[in-house]
Amino acid sequence: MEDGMSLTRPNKTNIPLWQDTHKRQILAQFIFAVLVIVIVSLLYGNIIDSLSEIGMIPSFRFLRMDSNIDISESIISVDNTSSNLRLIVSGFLNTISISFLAIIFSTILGLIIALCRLSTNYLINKLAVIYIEIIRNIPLLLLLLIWYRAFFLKLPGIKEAIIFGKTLQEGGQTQLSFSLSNRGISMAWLRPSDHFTPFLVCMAIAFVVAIALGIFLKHRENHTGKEQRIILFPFLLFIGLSLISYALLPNAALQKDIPVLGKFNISGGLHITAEWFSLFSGLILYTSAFIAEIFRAGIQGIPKGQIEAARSLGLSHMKTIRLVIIPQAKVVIIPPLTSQYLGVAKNTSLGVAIGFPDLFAITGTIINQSGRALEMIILVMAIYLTLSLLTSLIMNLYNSRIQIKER
Amino acid sequence: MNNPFKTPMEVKHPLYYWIHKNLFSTVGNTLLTLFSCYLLYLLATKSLLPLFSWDWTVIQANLKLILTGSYPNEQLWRVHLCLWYAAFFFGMTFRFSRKTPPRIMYLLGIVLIFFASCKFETLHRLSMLCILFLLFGSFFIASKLKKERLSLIIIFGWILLLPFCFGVIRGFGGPLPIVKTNLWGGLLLSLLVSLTSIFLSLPIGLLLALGRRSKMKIVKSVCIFLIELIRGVPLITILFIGYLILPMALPKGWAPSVFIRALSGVVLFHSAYMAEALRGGLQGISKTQYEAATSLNLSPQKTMIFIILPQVLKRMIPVLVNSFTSALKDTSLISIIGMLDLIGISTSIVSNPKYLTGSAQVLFFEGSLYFVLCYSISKASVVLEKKLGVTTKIKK
Repeated sequence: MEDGMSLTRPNKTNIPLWQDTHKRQILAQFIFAVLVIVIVSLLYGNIIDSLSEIGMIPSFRFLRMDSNIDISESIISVDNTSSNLRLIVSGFLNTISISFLAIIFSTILGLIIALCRLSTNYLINKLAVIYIEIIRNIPLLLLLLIWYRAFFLKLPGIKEAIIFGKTLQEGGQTQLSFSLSNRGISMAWLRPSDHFTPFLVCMAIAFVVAIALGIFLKHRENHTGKEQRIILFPFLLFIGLSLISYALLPNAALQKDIPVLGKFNISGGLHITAEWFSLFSGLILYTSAFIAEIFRAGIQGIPKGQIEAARSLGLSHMKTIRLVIIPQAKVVIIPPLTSQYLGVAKNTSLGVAIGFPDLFAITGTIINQSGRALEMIILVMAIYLTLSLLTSLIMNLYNSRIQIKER
Repeated sequence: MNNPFKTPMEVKHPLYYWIHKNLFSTVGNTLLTLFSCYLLYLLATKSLLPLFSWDWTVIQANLKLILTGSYPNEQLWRVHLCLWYAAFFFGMTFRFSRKTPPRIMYLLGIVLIFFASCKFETLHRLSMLCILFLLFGSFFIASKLKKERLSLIIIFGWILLLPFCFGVIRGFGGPLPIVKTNLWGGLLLSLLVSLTSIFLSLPIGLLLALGRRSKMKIVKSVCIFLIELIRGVPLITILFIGYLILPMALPKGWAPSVFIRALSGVVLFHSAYMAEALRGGLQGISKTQYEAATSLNLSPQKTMIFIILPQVLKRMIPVLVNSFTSALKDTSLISIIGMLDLIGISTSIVSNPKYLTGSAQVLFFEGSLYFVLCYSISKASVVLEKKLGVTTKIKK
């Protein structure tokens, strides 16, 4: 043992310093660390110097001050006396909500396009190819600008708006069900009324009952070996119970909200601004083309033998898809899909080009108003970074769960 | 090709058979065909036909602005010089990959002749013919050269492309008076910024990737921090850092121009993505390569430079070419910080009261420019991938 040690590891004192890999590495790291610290402190010192020259010491106190900024749309109520912090929160909520919706819709559209791309029908296949190639080779910014400047701003103004379902009420009001103008889209919508809470409670109960049914069915399937409809029946139960409770409750939980045509604007109803819709549709079109390619690669990557084997075992077409294709394709699809979803959240920042008040646009406005560039950029980077780290954490957890376990 | 299992139908009426198989094989298929015909009809009548009825004079009047921004008219020949340079090496590269001129060269030739016959100034029309001549001429010259020498010339030619273009387009006094960067614009600016970002982000990204794979803890963690920080935030925030923070962070008196500020942001951003792509390439090299190099008594540095990097870089050529398209697309964001690139110039054209109504036309024209460029480049990268016999898929 002792001899072996001395053979593989010769006495250290014999090696000169510049030839000892271990010591050399420590030295190199030390030099590197010193260099990094020197560069960062130099840059930071310069920033502090030039800021103090114009009388600005970096601090986050300005976040509590009044913003004096009006923003066009927000989920929480803000006006120009709200603090900067509240404005940032509202921008964050705008970013989150639009990216969440865009992710869902672009996944659906992406799946549809991927199916078209995989279809044996020549025409639909080629149409999908054209769509994917055009969208993937155009910058998203241009797509947004085309939607906004070449479509919405070219629409007629509010007075000559395109209107469907016009009805004249007795009070001289004109109600409408759908309108399209250069300010955006207005349409009739259902809104929660004052009696919404009981309905919500009923829905929660229905959900719990449905889950219980699902667990019971799964249990029975495991015991009897007979296949049960684990997804379909609980889902139908949930829908049915919700509908029954809605009908039985004394006060309607939802009320109609119908837009009314005024002299200069359309009030009421669900109003979707041109900016929101441009950003939303641009994001969906752009992302769905990439997602379609990811789905296609995932599905085409499955060896044909797998499908043939499944069919020869007597699995039906749907079962082959559900039990053989999807579990294997999922493994290939999830990692690139994660980066696409992250990309959507980051791409909402392009809303700044068309005036949608997302997190980044509001940051830009606050920088212009208060001149706090350094603090705002640090803040916004921290927010985006947290967001993307959280998303990738969740997706990584899911990914490690579905990975094929190899023996 | 000769399939012995052909049905009599297929032999007798191949066209009918093809239509039946691909369009009307089942009821669902027929419905899909009808649906896509309807879609095509909608596309043709609602979006393609109106394009012809639009007034395209706004493009004609502003073509120079869209292509080169406010680059001085009497200096435009310098831009043409860069085009000639590129055409020369394009021809050589085409010869490198095949013996006869590929279809794309004839297509380019037809386009060039078409432009040469248009009503431009004489200089531009002559330049088009010159490009055509250089394209086919260099193809011919290349066929006289030995393959090894040719590949060397091509590699150096493409590496020197960027310094050449910058030297010629910016100028350095004397016969080439300096043209300030704030006069650059349009397609010229977009191309230059994206080319530079690829050229500069390759070495930076390589350093970051090697740092990330290094065994030294401090170096590794700094590289991971930088890469993940940049990849975790949108490009526009990085651009704002370059635009607002960089002038503060640099010593007084440096005062970088807006061009440099925008460029630094784009380069920083792409370096992080390049680092990840290169890391994938480095992971794809099998361990035996390292072991073989070690058993030949090569030091780790020599192993990296002479054994690993040449293989990685060869593998990365298609990826590099393809990342040029994403760079070109991402570069459009510099218009948000006020640069007059292809997108930025459209805003300034439309703000001219004469062309207020032309925004859709300008945007569509720019969209088709982007599409033609990006599509052809990404197709070229696929061809390169096949030619070089490399796959960019990462081995586990």
